Amino acid sequence: MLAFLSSLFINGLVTGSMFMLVALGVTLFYGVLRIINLAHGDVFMVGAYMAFYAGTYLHLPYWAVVIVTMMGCAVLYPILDLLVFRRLRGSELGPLITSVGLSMALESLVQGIFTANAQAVPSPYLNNLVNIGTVSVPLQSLLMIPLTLVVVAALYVFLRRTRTGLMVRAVAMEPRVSQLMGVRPEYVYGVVFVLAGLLVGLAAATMAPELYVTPTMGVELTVDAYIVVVIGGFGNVEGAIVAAFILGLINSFVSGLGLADWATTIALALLVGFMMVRPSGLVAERLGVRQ
Amino acid sequence: MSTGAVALGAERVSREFGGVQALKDVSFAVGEAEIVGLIGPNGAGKTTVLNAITGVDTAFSGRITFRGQDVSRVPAPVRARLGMARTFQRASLFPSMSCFENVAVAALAAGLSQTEARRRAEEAVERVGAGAVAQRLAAEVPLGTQRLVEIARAIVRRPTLMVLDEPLSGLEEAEVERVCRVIQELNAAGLAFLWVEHNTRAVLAISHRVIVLDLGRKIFDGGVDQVGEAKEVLDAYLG
Amino acid sequence: MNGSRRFLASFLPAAALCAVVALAALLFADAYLAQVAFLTGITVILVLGESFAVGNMGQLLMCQAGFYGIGAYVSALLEMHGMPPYLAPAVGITCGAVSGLVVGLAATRIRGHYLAIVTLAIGVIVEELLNNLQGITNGPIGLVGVPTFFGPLNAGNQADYIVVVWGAVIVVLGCLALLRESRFGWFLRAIRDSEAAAESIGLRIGTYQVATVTVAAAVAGLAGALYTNYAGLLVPDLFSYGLSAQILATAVLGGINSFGGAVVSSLVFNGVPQMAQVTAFYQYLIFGVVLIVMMQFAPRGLSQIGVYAVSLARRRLLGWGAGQPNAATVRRP
Repeated sequence: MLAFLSSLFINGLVTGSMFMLVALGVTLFYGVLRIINLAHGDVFMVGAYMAFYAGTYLHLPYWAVVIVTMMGCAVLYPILDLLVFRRLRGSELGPLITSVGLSMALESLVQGIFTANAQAVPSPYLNNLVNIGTVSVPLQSLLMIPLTLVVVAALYVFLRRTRTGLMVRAVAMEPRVSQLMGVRPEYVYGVVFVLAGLLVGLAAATMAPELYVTPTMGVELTVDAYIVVVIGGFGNVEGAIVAAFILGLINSFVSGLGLADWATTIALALLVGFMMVRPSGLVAERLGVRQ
Repeated sequence: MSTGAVALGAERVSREFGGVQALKDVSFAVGEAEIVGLIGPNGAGKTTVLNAITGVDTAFSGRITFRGQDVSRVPAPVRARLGMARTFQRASLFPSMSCFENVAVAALAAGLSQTEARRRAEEAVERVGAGAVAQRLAAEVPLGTQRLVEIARAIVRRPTLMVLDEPLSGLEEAEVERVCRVIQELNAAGLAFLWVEHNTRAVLAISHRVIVLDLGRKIFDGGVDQVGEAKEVLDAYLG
Repeated sequence: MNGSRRFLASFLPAAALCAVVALAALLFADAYLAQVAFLTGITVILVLGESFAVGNMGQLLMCQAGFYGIGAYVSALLEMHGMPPYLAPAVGITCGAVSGLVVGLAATRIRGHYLAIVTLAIGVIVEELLNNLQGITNGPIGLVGVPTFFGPLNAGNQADYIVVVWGAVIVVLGCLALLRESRFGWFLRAIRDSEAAAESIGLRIGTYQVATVTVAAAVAGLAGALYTNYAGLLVPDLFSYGLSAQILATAVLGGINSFGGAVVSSLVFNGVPQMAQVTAFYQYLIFGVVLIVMMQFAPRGLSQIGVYAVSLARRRLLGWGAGQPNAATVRRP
């Protein structure tokens, strides 16, 4: 029983890590650019195909696959921004609607290139089972947890300790004032797209080996990321981290009860219930400050 | 001046924002058909008081009464229905509608029939002297006119108290006079006013009474002729 | 407020366009095109409901597909238990309205981006429930053998189907246009323009939001009932979050709060690709790319392009200024 519970717990942490890596990008987009990007999960999907291509066709070693995928997404996102989002700065509705189009375009482009068939990303750690007490977990899953910790620490240091990070936070909090103080918003937006790309690329490269890679795999992830971001509070990085792990654990334990089909429904119902109690998320106070 | 009947009462109203005391035990009353000016330096708590009175903020402690009824926890739209009208610091007309439609939609919201609403709206627009711009889009008329249309929109429901939030800010001298004249005319017809305004000269010119706030406390409440002699007021303004 | 003139101005052109489309379909459509005409009519109804909500309330609803699915499944299930098909539209409207009411009440205090995400979540919940409540919905396999209005589509009854769906489109158009010019519509636009000012004239925002969601949902529920009675088979995939996003996108592409725009955009972005027998894959790709491109250059949709084209035509052909045509400014060549 204990073994079962702890395996669910570890599973929840792993899922939570993935949610977090994906949701951090979403929350940064909202916090800094005030946009809802419904194509974020599709960029994860493109990342997964990059990993698939790099691993299966280029025969790169796994560590190189991770780097290529992260770099690929970090380059892809600013390009997408240039093509799709840049002209719509300041619009509330525009980016959301365009991101729907982007999502459809990315899905069909990838389907055009790789077909709709599920692909597998090779990884040497997939069949490496690690025994923790009585539980055995694939090394691939376990890899997620320390990687995520490193990423969170790095992001924290970046946002708190570097000049650019300070600029990002300044634009998020006071867009107009920070502009008066010489921060170029477009530079900060670019940084956010690169950051979101790196994070989602890492998530794609590390999670893809455990998933079926298909052109529509991103849709569900987008929804999950938004559950996390809404519960954590739009634009709130710490909130997103906490909410991601909560959602990951809920997912894992609900599946453990044999209700895997209901995991999404339960998470979404939780979101709706949460919003009924706190209509503007956890960060209502922060919004008050902004106005 | 006040005949003794109270339109609006604030009783020991306090408000705290995350440990900062924005208002402390502020009590005052506005009589029926009285013009009361609410002034004070920046950060005195004027906006906080207005939010409590109009129902934008209901998380204060203390009591707000309106025509003898406790409205402390009554939401903003219901206060409007009870006869408390208001305007906004940043003129908030409905930009997609014409000036006339702005007023007419308020008349419809008061539950009037189409024809009656139209008649009342025309009357209100004429009353503030905005008849000439009635058909123009609200977003396109000058700020002074927007303020007048806002007043017309507020009076169409025939309220008993009007709360104005800095109705003169950003206006030119001629517009200031126009708005002041409209306030006096409406008051002569029986409407009570509570207004927050930075233009102290105008406040002293047309108010019957002024209330001075400083650092969340009421430091003066009395006739306009005495305010200049009150030591606390001079201290608050001159530091 | 010139209610009746405004009503006619928004209703007549759109209704006339629908009548022309329906007539063309009746006269010229083969079996395939009749199918396209029917499905496009369904899309128009869905888009009109969304367009009404977004345009007048100014809030995004991302669960039209969910309401559509509820209308479809409930009327299908009732018919499979013996309800006559002609009651289905009423059932669809009622189910949509009730579920809209529930969603609206749950989301009374939620606005803006939060409302978009919450309704998105609700849409996905409906899709998941259709998949998971296997005892009722038969899960991913779906409902088979649902009764239909006139039996399987064929040369004999295609006219009936087209008349039913496009008749419904015109009725929906009329109701929504009436609603838009009623005091309800005016209050919605007041709330959309400024929530604080709307409260100051005595409007309770939550109440009107609930009412709008209910209206949009009732319209979608009707579309669901009509679809059921044409297709005779339902699967949960038909009612996915992706469809809600497409409905929203089509409404925005048409130009928010323009009924004519909503009709044209449904025809252009859904009807035409199907008519051209483009495969689903390319339809999806084209729709996505067109959506991106349109938002870059005409973010206010087709109606913006329409206004621009009209003013351009006036300038070029008649020598009028770009603004209001005015006798004084006409320059004679």
